[in-house]
Amino acid sequence: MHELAITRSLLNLTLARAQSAGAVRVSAVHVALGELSGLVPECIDLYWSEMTRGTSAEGSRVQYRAIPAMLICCACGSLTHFDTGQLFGCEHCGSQELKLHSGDEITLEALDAVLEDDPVSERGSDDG
Amino acid sequence: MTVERQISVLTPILDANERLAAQNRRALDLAGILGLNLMGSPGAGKTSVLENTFDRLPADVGVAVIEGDIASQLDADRVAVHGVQAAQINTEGGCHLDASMVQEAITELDLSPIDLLLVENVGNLVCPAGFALGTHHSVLVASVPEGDDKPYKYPGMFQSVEVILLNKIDLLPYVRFDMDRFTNGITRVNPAAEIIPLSCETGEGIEGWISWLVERLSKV
Repeated sequence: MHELAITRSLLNLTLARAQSAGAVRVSAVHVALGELSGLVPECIDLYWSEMTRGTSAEGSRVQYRAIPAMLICCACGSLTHFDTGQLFGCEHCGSQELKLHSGDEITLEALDAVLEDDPVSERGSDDG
Repeated sequence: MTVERQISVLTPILDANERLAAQNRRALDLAGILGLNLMGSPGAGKTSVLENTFDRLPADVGVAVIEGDIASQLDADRVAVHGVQAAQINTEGGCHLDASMVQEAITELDLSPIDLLLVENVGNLVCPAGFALGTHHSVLVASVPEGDDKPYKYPGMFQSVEVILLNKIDLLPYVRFDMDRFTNGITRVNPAAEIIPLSCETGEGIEGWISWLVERLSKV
């Protein structure tokens, strides 16, 4: 539902990181998306293609790594998938007290960037 | 010559919002103000909880409110009737408040007489849970007519809060609502959450909420 705000933040973060690395173009961004993040990748893709226009990330793709929602048992420490745990408790010992272990991530993990071959020695001539 | 490389980033996408939220938190801490983020669906009774809170808090507690709505000044007007300072944020379509909106709204308030800042988020059980505002505690206002299945259907929201006010318990005799199913759904994913059943209509249970609040205020 809030994909617009997320995509805007993703673009700001991407452009800042690309610039500081001296990238001339970004070809892909790698995003880890938790199952409980509530975000729809197709919706981010749509905003992404519009918002990257005229930037160094124009034409780039967002690649998603899905992170399953897992609960950790407060009693025995084992992991249960969120759907099962929420309905029946811990799969291993039956405890009803569980905490979220993973699944709420929205993280920019990496960029695929096109860089000048030797950005350090060419820095002066590259800017602008 | 160009070369393609992968650059590691490993940064939460909402990092910028988190940093602004941390600034808000520092500003509140410096002013000695306890900040709460009140979330819940439209119609759960967030503003009614606020109204009941003003009337029951000890008289020496200075309160201000930031109201978040997609449109209108209605909630700020409702709050102002109680003699409480209020700033209204209109998100104009935005489904949640973020830290920058709260930062701007704080500048509209005179913080010197304030001990407690209540931020009423946009009515929504999804998006507000993802955006830190810099408040100290997050509170969910749920309500009986919404149904006992909401913790199962909106886990992100029920996960993200420390206290859940279950409003409209005066309607329990009239609607199908299994209290065990509701509380089990919360315990299994957020065992530390406190559940306070109450009714803004009859006043039943409100004292439990006020005690929770007064205890937190005493620690500021």
